[in-house]
Amino acid sequence: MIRRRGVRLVFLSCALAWAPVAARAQVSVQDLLDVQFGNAPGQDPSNLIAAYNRTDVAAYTDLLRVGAQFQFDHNSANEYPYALFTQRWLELSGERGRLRVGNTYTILGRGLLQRSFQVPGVVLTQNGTASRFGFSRDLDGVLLEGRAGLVSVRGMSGQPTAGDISPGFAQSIGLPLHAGDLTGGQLTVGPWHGTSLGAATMRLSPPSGGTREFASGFAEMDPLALARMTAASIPLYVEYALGRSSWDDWWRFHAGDDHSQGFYASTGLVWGPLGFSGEWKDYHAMQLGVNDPPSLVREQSYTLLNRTTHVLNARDERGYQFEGTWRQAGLGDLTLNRSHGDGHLVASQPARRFDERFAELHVAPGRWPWLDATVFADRARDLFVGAERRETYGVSSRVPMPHGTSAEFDLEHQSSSVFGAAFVEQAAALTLRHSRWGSAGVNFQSSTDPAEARPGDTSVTPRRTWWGGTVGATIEHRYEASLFVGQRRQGLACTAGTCYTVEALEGVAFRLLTRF
Amino acid sequence: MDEAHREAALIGRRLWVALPILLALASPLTAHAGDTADPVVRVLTEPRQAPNFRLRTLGGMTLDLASLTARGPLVLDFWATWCKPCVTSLPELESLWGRYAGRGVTVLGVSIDGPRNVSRVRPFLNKLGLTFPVAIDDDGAMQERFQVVAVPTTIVIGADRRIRFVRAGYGGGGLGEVEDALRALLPADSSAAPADSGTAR
Repeated sequence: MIRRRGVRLVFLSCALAWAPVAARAQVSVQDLLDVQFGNAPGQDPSNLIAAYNRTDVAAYTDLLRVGAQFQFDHNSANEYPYALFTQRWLELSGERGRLRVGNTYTILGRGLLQRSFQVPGVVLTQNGTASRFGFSRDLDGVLLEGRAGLVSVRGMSGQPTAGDISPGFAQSIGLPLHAGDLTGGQLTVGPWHGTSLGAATMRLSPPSGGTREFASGFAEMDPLALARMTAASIPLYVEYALGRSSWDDWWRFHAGDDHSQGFYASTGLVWGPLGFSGEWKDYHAMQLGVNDPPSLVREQSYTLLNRTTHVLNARDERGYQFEGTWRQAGLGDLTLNRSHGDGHLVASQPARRFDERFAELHVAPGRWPWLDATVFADRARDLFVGAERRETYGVSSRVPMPHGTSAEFDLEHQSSSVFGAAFVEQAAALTLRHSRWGSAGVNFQSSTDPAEARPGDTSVTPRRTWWGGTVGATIEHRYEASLFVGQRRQGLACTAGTCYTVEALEGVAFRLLTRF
Repeated sequence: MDEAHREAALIGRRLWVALPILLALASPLTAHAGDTADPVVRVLTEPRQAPNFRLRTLGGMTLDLASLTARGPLVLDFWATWCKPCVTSLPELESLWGRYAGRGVTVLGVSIDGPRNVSRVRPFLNKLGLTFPVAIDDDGAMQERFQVVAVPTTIVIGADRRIRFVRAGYGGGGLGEVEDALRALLPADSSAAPADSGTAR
């Protein structure tokens, strides 16, 4: 409570300092409006109207920035409506560092201990309700960064949020959006070009009680850059993190099964047309709610692969990911990926395994500009979710046409066996684009997954289809509008390394992004 | 229903009434309001100054807005390894950089790949044959400064550090609009290369 008052005091002082320069500040405003008409099949009412709006305002000079975010959501069922400022911040920055008071995004190391972030443009729905909200896992407090010579420091203190709850729903049950207490910092030294050594520490007091302390050490270097060899590069990164309630035996790497520990390492090679990356992970009790350890699972842009991706189990998972790329100038490129993870969902049960092999061939011969095609094959099993087998194949192509127009199509087929039930899924999309006017497309999905059967369908092999059409346009570079009509499938989606659930919709969705 | 919920519901109802008004205000029909002498409207419609920033490239160089615009216009491109349209637009950006670098244009790619994908950025760049400088926005500060909600987002900033063009998404068919924005900022040059919608491959 005392610190919250302190934050408000600092905020107010900075705001007063800001006042004299506000007259010559730049102002930027961005508004995202998302309106839906319809509902998930089988849900009442079928003609639900839901409107969500988010406005981000920032005013700034070279040294000072101040901003706020306002969100409102309302639906015709009147479920958990809200209208409130969800962020406000003030930032002072210069050559030597920056001070930010209010809502902030930041990271310690590679995110093993802490990472606050937002997933831009993503609007989530509160589970089991019609209330919608933007996904933002920020820290409400103070962030201080500084650098001098070879040394840089970062310190933070504030209240975190998981960002996975609607402000309207939170209000209704009396739950604060930001709760608990997080204090942390890191020191980084860069003695040589491309090399840095660092250490981070964090003290976390969740609202449920039980303060814990964490520490991590990390190192980053490229031995070839150190040797001033420029023909190739081998970047290396290693981080080890540990969390305990007592630091008496701080020197022990393995702190026992009761403590949090995380290890992450990555390397790579870029040499001529060849590219390679290798990563290793070993996480135990690292699901802290304020962190985001690298998952070592390839993030896929293909529809069926994206919705069936493996979600990291940071409570207990270890494994690796290797990816190799080969570029043949004037012809195309090849990508091969292998990801693997083992871990326990419940300590008393046998270990689960995730394993995936992915290959992608992209052909785009320079001499035939009309040919730009990609084929892929993926074979996976993810026993964390009961998927004993999953094979996916697909092809996509882009055909440039005259006058800035192009056509794109995607075809995907997936065959799976989950908890003993075998089923197939298909996805197809055709999109026409014009570089200035916008785009228009249709998409289709089908599934024989018994778990996806349409409500009321009791057939032995139910087949369900989803059709949709989207039109998008940019108007005067200030307005970006899109209109979706049809059926949207419920399921997992991953953006920018973060996975979330998309709710089903049968109806119309309109989105308008306005920039001033 | 408790007090907080009732209050929120009341606000929601009011906003429900206000929604058509908000929509009307956001309508493109009001886009030419910049003709007015109203200073508040002018602030919102004139090309605004780009926010200052400081980034470290994959090559280890530290760059800020002043150094990036010292030679001429800057093209800032936000992208990610998992972004499908970026695979098409990035080689076109490389091609554009090849044609305009000699005229003082700087291109900087900003990868918004989180910790999940950061190790794959270098091989990805190599696979596409990209040579323009690229930085990692690991804490999301750049996305917030430039209010990025989709990738790719391409921003053209003039040497006067004013934002001249913003485009979210990639429409296919080349980067003609980006090129138009650059041409408007550059002095006329008869030796300039003609527009090329082909890729760098």
